[in-house]
Amino acid sequence: MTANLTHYLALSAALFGIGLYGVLARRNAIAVLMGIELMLNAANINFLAFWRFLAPNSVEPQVYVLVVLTVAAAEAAVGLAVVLNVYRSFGTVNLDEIARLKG
Amino acid sequence: MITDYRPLLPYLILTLLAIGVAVADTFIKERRTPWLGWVTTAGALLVIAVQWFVPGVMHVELWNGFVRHDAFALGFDLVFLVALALTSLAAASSEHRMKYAGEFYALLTFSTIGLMIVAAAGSLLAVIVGIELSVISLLALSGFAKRELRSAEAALKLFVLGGAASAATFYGASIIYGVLRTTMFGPMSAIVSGPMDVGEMVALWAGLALVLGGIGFKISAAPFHLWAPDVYEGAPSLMVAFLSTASKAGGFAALLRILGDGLGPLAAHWAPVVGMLAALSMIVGNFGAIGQTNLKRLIAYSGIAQAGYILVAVAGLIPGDPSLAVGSVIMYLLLYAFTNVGALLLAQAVKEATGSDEVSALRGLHKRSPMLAFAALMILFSLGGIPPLAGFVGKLYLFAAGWQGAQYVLVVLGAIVSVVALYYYLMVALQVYIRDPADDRRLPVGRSLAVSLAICVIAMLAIGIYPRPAVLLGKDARAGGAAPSQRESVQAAPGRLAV
Amino acid sequence: MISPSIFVFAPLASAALFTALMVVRSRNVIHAGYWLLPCLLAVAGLFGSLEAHFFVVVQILIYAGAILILILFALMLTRDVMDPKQRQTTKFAPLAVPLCIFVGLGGALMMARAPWPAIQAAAPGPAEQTKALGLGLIGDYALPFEVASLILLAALIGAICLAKAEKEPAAPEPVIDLRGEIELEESVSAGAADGH
Repeated sequence: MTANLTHYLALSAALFGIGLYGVLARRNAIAVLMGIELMLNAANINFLAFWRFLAPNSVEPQVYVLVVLTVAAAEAAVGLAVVLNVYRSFGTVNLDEIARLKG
Repeated sequence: MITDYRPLLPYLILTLLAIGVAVADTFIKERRTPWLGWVTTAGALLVIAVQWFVPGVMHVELWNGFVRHDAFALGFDLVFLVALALTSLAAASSEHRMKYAGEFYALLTFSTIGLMIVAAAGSLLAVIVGIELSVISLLALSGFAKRELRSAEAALKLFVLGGAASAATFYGASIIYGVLRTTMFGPMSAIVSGPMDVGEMVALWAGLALVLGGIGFKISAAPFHLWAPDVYEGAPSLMVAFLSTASKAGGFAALLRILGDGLGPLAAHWAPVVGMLAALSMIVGNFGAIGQTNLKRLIAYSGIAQAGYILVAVAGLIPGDPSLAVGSVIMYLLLYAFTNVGALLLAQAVKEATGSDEVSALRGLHKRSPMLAFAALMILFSLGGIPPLAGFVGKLYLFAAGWQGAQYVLVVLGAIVSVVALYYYLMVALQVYIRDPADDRRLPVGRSLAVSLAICVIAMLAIGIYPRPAVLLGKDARAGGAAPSQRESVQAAPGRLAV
Repeated sequence: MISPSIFVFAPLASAALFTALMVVRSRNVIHAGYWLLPCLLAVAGLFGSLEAHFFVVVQILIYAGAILILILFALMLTRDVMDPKQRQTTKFAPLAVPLCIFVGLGGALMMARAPWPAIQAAAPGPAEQTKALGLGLIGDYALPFEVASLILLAALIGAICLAKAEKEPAAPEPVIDLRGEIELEESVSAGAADGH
């Protein structure tokens, strides 16, 4: 028995769905960031699965993965600074309690 | 591999500029003269000059077409650099009050580099890295007014929604890569013009939908617009001036590159989707703007509507003959850069003087500052599309492109909602000219900001009265079909500068 | 081609999914952060099963090593406002459940139905693929590589400016940001900042 491409793709779709749930449903901004990280990981699994099963001699998917990692790191750094800033001003990091701007 | 480094000159200049102002800031003790803002403005103008007049910079392809310095990129780069120059010139007025002035200009410049890479992209990968560079810089900038709670909240909204949008974009890109095994636009377009399996088509569409969602977020098209009013209201006005013009233009560059260059053969499939976004944006933007009492929220909803007008032209893109659609989009974005930067500068000036960015703060502006009131009137007329201002010609071209692409329903809808738009623009004009001010004191305006605003107004009038150069700017810019051959684009080359 | 065995894939995949679910379902956000670690490691294991050796290391170093630590730091710094007894979900949560099940299962189904070509090629060995990637990053993919460095630089500058605590101004005139305005709430926020 071997695992093939569709196994990996199905897994990444499920992981993406779970991450999306984290983004949509969690109140805590940092928990939302974790959901975003899960979605990015799903994208990486996709890229590497396509690389392995469809184009093992191509570099492009690997470059995508590196870019995703960079963006994840940069987004986490800036995002957590934003969250700390909000925490200092509002005393909370719950998204639905931070609503001074009329929606 | 690259042997000729001249095409990288614009990016190198901007990178050095960004690092330079950030470092120089730490050595500046005395802030009487706003050197940093002026240097950034000069740098942006220098890059425009380099792109237009130094041979070998534009009209080349780099890395086997990974980056294309064609007329399309040249036109869009002008929009980004104009927005950068106007914003940093205006920011010079409040530089002495900024705590992180150097970093402010540096991040604006980084964002510009990212947008320029989007406009020159020959691959989905280049589009995505460019967008991310721009988004991350703007995300940091939106929280820069740290003593304002609303700024912190705006940054948080941009972070959560923008992060989710970029994660979805990456996931969509991975699916597109899997289906096509390449994300270079040339090969992509060749593959999708061949026969494709239904299952592949479905997967490609799912991926494309996620990518389009990410771009829709960037151009604040409905239904991806929810962040815009809050972020516009909370974030610093000067940063919003850049966000609402250059960053939006970058989103359209990405859209035209992906749909025109990459997936041109599928135009019959994506045009209805873009058309739906256009219709929704025009309706949501224009009706949402009615009854807004905050000036910046009003500008946000008006920006959603403007994105809808531009999408009409995108939906009308004909892959074999894209010059009218692409040309009208570039021209409109250029005049929109002048108009909307002007609008945000107005908001900034009024806010600095009165401490409020409500529409009611504009009451009786003509008595307090006749020049500012005149600028406000011109901006409102241009946004509303009243001749002889630039907005009128621009909208005409957009709708002409939509008509050429047989998007008749959209054009008619656009014309109807434009009338609705007149209502709320004129309501603001009413406040400025008819109502009496609450207090009669003169309204002080910073010198650099006034110069920047004056340039915006003059450019709006100039493009409106003599639109030829601006129209020609976009004429050679083609997205869709094959990339223009090198010789062909060199002929269409430098020396033709709009405005 | 030696495909990864299902006996390697299945445990890693179920571990990744289970831990991911725990990340989004844990009431205590700190626990969610801890669950993220095994999840990222399971994903690294999946990369290993795909013979992407370089990315196993990168995933552990960057994700598990750097990003997770950053997240945990943020959680610790804001821990006093996190009460696990509080409601942890927004009002959209009941809607999000069916939506996300639809996205996850629908996406999985769609991916499984698409006709992927069966290319029977072996993956290059660890040394070859890393070399190819390195050459790519100074060759055809030099641009994304350079832009990635700019992204990190911009993030660094931005994060420092944002995260730096505002000191109470020593100068007689308060340092005012960008828009030159002090709001009434400011005294409140300054008070909140003092508390920590």
